[in-house]
Amino acid sequence: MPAFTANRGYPYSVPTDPVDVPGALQALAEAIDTDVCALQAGVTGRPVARFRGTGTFPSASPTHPVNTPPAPYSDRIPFDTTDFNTANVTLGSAEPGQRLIFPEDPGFYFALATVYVPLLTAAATTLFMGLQIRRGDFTNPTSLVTAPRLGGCSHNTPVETHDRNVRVMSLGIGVFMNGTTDAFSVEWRADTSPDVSEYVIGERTITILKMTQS
Amino acid sequence: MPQNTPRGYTYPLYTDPANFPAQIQDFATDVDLDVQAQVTATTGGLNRPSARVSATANQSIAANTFVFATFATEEYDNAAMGNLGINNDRLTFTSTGIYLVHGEVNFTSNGNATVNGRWGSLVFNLGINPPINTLRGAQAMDTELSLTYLYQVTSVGDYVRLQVRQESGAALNISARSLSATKVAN
Repeated sequence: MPAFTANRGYPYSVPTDPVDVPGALQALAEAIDTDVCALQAGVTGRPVARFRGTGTFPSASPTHPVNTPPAPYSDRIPFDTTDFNTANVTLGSAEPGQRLIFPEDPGFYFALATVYVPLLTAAATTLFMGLQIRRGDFTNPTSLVTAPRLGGCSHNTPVETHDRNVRVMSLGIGVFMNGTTDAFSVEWRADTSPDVSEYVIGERTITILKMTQS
Repeated sequence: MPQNTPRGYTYPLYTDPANFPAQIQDFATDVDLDVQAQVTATTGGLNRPSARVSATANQSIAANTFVFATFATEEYDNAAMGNLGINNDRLTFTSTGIYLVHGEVNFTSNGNATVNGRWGSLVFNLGINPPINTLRGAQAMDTELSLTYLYQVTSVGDYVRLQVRQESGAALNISARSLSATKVAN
């Protein structure tokens, strides 16, 4: 009966085993081979995913306060394209009230969101533009959870021709996601005077890097 | 006399006494330790030191004054970087390397007649020339400011704080804010 190494469980002969040098070497070699192959398969680089929203998206231009939207999903922007995904992140439905991005494995994540904001075509003055990442509940997308706001950035000057007609707003956060309910909710809003029915934004992305295994 | 490969695997020579069980055990143990070290290194590479601290309660910021944001909740910390009971305004790096550092803060609106600027910076140790972001404040809306920076920690004990300033002419609160760091390279 062979014995096994302490860490990896490789078999080796003990003095009481029948003498079978080829058989013992084969068993050891195969055990090492299987183990090293599995180890190599696990070395894939840092898990990373990027999702993109393509085409324009008409965002409502409400006057509600920044951190108390009338509904938790009222400013959530949709994503429809997966550029790459080695991080086991699920892109939720792009339908209103959904639009969540769900890391299925627990861990500490760094997320970077960008939104292309073009000129406001309506005859109004932009007073405020805000980009936020919030924590949504993937199992209950229309519900707020305890600490919904993860980070935000705002611009209080309008996009103009000096911006070459577009401004890229970007926001990064580092946060733990639990792998069971926590999901990223990317939200964008504008306040204008007078109110306009919508502010059409352009392409948007969220890039997600997984920094820990739990 | 047995020999060793460059990775330390022991093998017998023809002149060594034949003792197959001892020799295969020696070899298997050497490979076992080496592979286990690779597993440990790989796991460590995927589990980077990371931490996030945050707060939501208002912190009053006097006008035209540099103030360090304070934090109340340690949301995640796998490397003992946060110690809010001792210093509630910082993350302290517990290993050297390159870190992705992020800070963000929400300045509440107060309707001050003067709008002027909002300022946020990541201050490392007592260093000068920190990464800074400035914004024109909003009079009737909150102003949210975000900073992301790669910082090379050369000494264990280096720390980072989120410094804010506002120039609205009167005191202004900051509400939700957070500071996070995650190691991206040794």
